[in-house]
This record gives sequence, structure tokens and C-alpha cells, in this order.
Amino acid sequence: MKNLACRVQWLFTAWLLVAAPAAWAQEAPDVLVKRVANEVQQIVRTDPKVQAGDQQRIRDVIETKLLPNFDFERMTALAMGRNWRQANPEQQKQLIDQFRALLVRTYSGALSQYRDQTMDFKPLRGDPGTADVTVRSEIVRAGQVPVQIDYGMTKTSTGWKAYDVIVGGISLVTNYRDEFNEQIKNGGVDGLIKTLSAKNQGLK
Amino acid sequence: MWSPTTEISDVAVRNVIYGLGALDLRAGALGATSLIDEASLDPYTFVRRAYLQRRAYLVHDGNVPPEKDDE
Repeated sequence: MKNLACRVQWLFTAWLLVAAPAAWAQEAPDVLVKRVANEVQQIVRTDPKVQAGDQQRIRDVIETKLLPNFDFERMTALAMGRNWRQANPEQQKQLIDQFRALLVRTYSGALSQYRDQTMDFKPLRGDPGTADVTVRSEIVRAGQVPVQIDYGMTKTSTGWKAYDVIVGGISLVTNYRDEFNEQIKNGGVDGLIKTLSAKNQGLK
Repeated sequence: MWSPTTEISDVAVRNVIYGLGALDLRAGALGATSLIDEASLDPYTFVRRAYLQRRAYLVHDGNVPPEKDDE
């Protein structure tokens, strides 16, 4: 009798270990985007340092609240297209780092612009079981046409991540694909890395 | 195109006001150009691709058919 109870107990524990990760559902992509967007907007609206333009504080907010929700590797690989396989792992790493730096540096200034805007999130379309979805939203502005902002999301082991941002039909990844292609045609992958890092240093 | 400015009979004065209007319009667009300069590796390529994407989006009412990789 005791033997049986013991076995059942072990079985139960084993089942828990296996089932628990599956039972714990990842935060749905549309829920995540809405949560993060609202959190960041809340900070922009209420944090005195951010409002005072404290660059260090703004960088901290971006690094802790925004960046972990992006898959920069996927974003860079997509922007590179066929050129990605032409790059060795060291070059790939440099490309990811430089591209991320460029995007953060360029677009973090836009954060404060959306302080007073209202974000309207649309229901998720399509098959929720896939590993790639587009989260659609709209920036509603008084007296103006709303702006569509979509997020290309990919499911990773650490949760859903954004790999593309599409504003009014203009995809970040698609835009940079032309940029990267042109630089690579002129100077190869190394030429592109040089251009990116020079630009990042110039903007410092 | 009528505006109160067109009623000003003094040509020199009228032209100065037109000029100021053009300057103001151009100055208003400076924010956009500096973002393009910061974001792009080649401003021409960047704006061209953005324009083409935007046009496709408007033409297809937001439902742009996926492009085949033609390279």
C-alpha cells in the first residue's frame, strides 16, 4: 500500500515537471504589446526625469522596458535578406549590434512624441497557434487621420518578440533591406558594418 | 488660389509675404528631414523605399500582397 502511494506521488511530481511549462502560457503577443506600450507611455507621462530630458534615465527606460521585447537578430537577418548567409558569425554579431544601436539612437527620440496620443489596439486576427503574428494598433489623434502601427511578432522561447514595426504601411525591415543591399553592393558586408558604426559614432 | 494676400496691390509687399509663407512651410518640414538623415544610410534610397511602400499600402487599402523575393 505504502509502495503504491509512493509511486503515485512520484508520478504526480513527474507529471507536474513535464506539464508545468506547457501549462504556463506565454503572454499573448497582443496583450504584451499593449502592456508594454501602456507602461512606457505611463513612464513618459509621469516620470519627472524623463520629462526633464534626462538622457540617462531615458536610455534606462528604453533598455529595461522596450529592448527586451525585440528580436534584433531576426530583424537584422530579415533586413539582410540573402546577404545574411554571406556574413560570418562575427560579422553577423557586429551587424546586429550596430543595427540595434542605430535604431535605438534614431527612434528613441520619438517616444516623447506619443506622450499625449491614444493607442487603440485591434483584436488579434488569424490562427493563434502560429509562431508569427502581426499585432495591429492605431494612434488616435484629435482632428487628424489615425496612424496605423503594426508589430511583426515572433514566438521565441523567452516569449513573443517584435522583429518589425510597420507605420502606415512602411515596414522598418523592408526599408532597411534596400539600405543594406546598397551598402553591400558598394563595399560588401564589411563596408556595411563600417558605414553603420561610423554613423553610430557620428551621432554619439 | 485666393488668399487675403492676393488682395495686396503692392507687388513687393505681396511677394515678401509669399516668401515668408514658403520659408515657414519649409521650416516646418525640417523635423522630418533630420529624422531621415539620422535614420538612413542613404537618404534617397530610404525615402524612395518608404514612398513605394506607402503608395502600395494606399493603393491596396492596407492589404498589400506579399512581394516575391526577386533577387
